[in-house]
Amino acid sequence: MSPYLDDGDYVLGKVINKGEYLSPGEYIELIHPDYGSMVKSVLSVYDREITVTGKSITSMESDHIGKIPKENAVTRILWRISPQGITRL
Amino acid sequence: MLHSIMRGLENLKEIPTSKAHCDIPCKIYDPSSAQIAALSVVRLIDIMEETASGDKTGISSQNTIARCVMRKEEEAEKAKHEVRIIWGDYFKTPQKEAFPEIDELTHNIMLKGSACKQGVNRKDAEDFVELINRFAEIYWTTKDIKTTRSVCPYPPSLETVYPVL
Repeated sequence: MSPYLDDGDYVLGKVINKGEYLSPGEYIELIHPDYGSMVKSVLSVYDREITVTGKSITSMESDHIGKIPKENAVTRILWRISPQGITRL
Repeated sequence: MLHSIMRGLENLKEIPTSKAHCDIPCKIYDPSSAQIAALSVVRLIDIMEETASGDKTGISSQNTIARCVMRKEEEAEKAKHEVRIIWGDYFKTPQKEAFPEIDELTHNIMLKGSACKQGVNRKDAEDFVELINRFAEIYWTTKDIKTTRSVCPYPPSLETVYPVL
């Protein structure tokens, strides 16, 4: 997710409750069935699924990650705490 | 400063870690390498058969057989390796759900590849090619790319799966 997030950064967020609306471009923590906990940006929102993308050129591409059930989006990431300070994502 | 405080807190209580990126994915997956390697195994068995049944005797013939055995070992292992990479790195839950047979198919390719290394049974090698053909069909289908079957334009002239690009 560099330059938006770097290794060692802390993030603060809000738990996503069932039925809450997700918008493309939002940063979320999701639980991927194969990769576990990941921070990604929402790319598309479907009825019951979402696709996500990274921001780094080395991020895994969306079609490789696959569609994720909405309930796997667990946290809305709002703030980044880096050595440079705290910034809104 | 806040970052330092968080680091201090982390010493007191574990903060869950989340990954923001994955392994660098090359995304270059193509079963054709495995298919060509499997076809090579058939061809090498054919050359060994021709050499053993021909008029040629002596050290020259032994040299040809020895080279073919070595190459057969390498090509069978290469085919297995290429299939393992695609199965392990490319196939994830969505692809596995679409093709539940992929795990058993991959395992059968491993077993058949080993049989090809151990012996010189052409049928084993033909089966090896066919199993990898099926693997290729599944792979291209997951990419929404149609496939066609044609006889490869070189020995051993066996039916091979090609993507329609």
